[in-house]
Amino acid sequence: MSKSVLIVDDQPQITAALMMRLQAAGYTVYHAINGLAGVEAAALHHPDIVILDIRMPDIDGFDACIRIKRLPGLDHTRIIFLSANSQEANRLRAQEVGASEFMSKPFKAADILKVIERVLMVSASEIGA
Amino acid sequence: MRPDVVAWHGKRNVLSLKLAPKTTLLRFVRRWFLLALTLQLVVTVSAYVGMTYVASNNVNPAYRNSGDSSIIRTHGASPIMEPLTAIPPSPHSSSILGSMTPPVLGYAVVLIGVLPLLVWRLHRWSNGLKTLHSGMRRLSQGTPLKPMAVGGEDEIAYLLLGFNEMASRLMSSKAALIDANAHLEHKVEERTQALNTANQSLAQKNVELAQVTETALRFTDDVAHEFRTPLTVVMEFAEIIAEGLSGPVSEKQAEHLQVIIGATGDLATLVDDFLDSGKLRARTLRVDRRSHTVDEILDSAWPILETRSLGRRLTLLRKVESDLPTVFADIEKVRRTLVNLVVNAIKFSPQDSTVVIDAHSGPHGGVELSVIDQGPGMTHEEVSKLFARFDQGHQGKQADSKGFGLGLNIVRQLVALNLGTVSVKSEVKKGSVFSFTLPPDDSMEVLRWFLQRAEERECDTVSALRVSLGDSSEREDMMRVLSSSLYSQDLQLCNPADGTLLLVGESSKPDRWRERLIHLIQDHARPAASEMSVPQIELVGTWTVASAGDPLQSILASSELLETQCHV
Repeated sequence: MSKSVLIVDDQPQITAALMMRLQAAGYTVYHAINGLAGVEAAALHHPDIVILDIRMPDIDGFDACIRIKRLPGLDHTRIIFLSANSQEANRLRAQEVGASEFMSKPFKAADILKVIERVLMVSASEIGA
Repeated sequence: MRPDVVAWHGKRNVLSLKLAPKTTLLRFVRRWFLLALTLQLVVTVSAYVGMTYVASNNVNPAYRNSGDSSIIRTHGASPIMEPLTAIPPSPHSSSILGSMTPPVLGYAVVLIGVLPLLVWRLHRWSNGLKTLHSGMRRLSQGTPLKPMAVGGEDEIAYLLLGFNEMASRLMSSKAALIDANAHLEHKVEERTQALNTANQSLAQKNVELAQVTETALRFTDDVAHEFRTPLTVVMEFAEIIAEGLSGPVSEKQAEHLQVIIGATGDLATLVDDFLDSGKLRARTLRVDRRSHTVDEILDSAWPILETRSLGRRLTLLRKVESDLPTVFADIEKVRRTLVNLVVNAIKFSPQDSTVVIDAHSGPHGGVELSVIDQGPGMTHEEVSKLFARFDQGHQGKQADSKGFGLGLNIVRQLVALNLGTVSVKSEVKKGSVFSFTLPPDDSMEVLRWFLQRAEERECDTVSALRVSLGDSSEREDMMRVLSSSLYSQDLQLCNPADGTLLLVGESSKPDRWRERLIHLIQDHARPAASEMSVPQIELVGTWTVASAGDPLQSILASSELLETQCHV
């Protein structure tokens, strides 16, 4: 069974670009256009990876992350932040709310794939242990 | 109260006229003349009575005549002494009265007549003095005083008059003084109020200014966000097309797409530079210096550097000397510095050449990172021009600096934030080497580097504050709050051994700095309603930078920092 990725971003073009690349790499991809929809989609699909934007129209990425972490049955889910704002404060906050990675825009697609693979590998070893 | 003073002098002049010596002399003469006249009358009458008494007791009639003549003669110019010397004592008197000769009797009568007069006089004087004394006492006690009753025209009366005058003037000047005092108090109150109002409005302005700064910062962040998102989209889709994910592409098309991707990356760097230069000018760029290994820094920068070299036929090489010390730097700033220098190197590199990023040990225990290209290089003159331009602040003239303008200026400032320096070595037709230094993760060295940069900036004084952090739960919060108060170039060193934080900054008024920190902590604690207690902030000292060795020693001696570890 292929690994699943949920993209939560209010920018449809970025979501579209990411979806194309991830699908080409063999992932099952879901997407949501705002924070609350993202939390719902996470509860519904139990994705392995959630890619979160920070700045969104309703709740921000940190808030969405905290809510997703509270959902039952999502112990295997890992969070990756993808933000245009790469300030150190945001990186720290991302760590605080339990994200596995923080990537800044503009990003290189190949790096996203590498990061996802790394996170999944770490996750697998943690669960295996 | 000038008018009162004038009036006071006027009164004094009037008083001195009243008591003019000439007037006093006239009165004196007149009074004693009257007294003498009265005395003579008394003497004459008593002498006459005495004669009559002697005559009725068969005294020698010759005496009667002489007595008569003396009476007549008393109307002359020299009255009193004449009858007394003219009448010799009588040796024949038998009774007490009879033994008294008429002149002696005259003396007695004179005495009897004068004595009451003297007693009356003395009584009046003593009364006057008593009144004066009581008046003086009341005056000295400050009780309100009515003018004292003055009888007669003698010296005592004058004294009393003078005293009344003085007392009334004293009272009026005292009243004026009280008046002036009240006025002054009112004035002081008025001024204090005005000062308070001014202070309040100043505080209000400060708050507004802070809000404006905050808004401006948020705005630049928004702008950054707005720019980066479309840039990401362009880059991402260009790559998707180039990789053939959306259908086959020719080799030529793929190559052109790489040009688009590279240029988009440059644009992203420019956006960063543009935003940072604004923050640098406002000295609001936050610096987060921590301990990092050189590999960590290069790893974080490498993907971006690779993106920039895409579509250009050149090799990016990475050379790292072994056993390099860890450095104390803001990794984001180092990354941006490297990206700028590498983009620059790529711009001037010929096809199929190599750009090398070389990390080796640098001066004062630090690390030096060099970006080496095989481009056309610069003459010595061009190199010196490159830096002279920045020193003079002529950032506008970029035409003959081959597009270095904003990029290299930003590089210099970013490196300065990490307490390092930039240098250029270049040889025509061989290439250029742009290098920058990073301080080692050692408090002694970091302080030395900081002071050197301060001296180069021509900053006069440096102050240091020591903050005793609370327990570990508050510590991180506190450090974040405190670091937000620092200007970009200020230094924050943490000593985990004794839980103190050393803040070193360009400041000649450390007391004000300390107050600002306390306010900041209080402001931070209030909205969060957290129980962040205000930590102990003590002044370590203030030093002039010219003698760089001294502040270094004293800061270190007093702070007992053994090692810098800024990870909490």
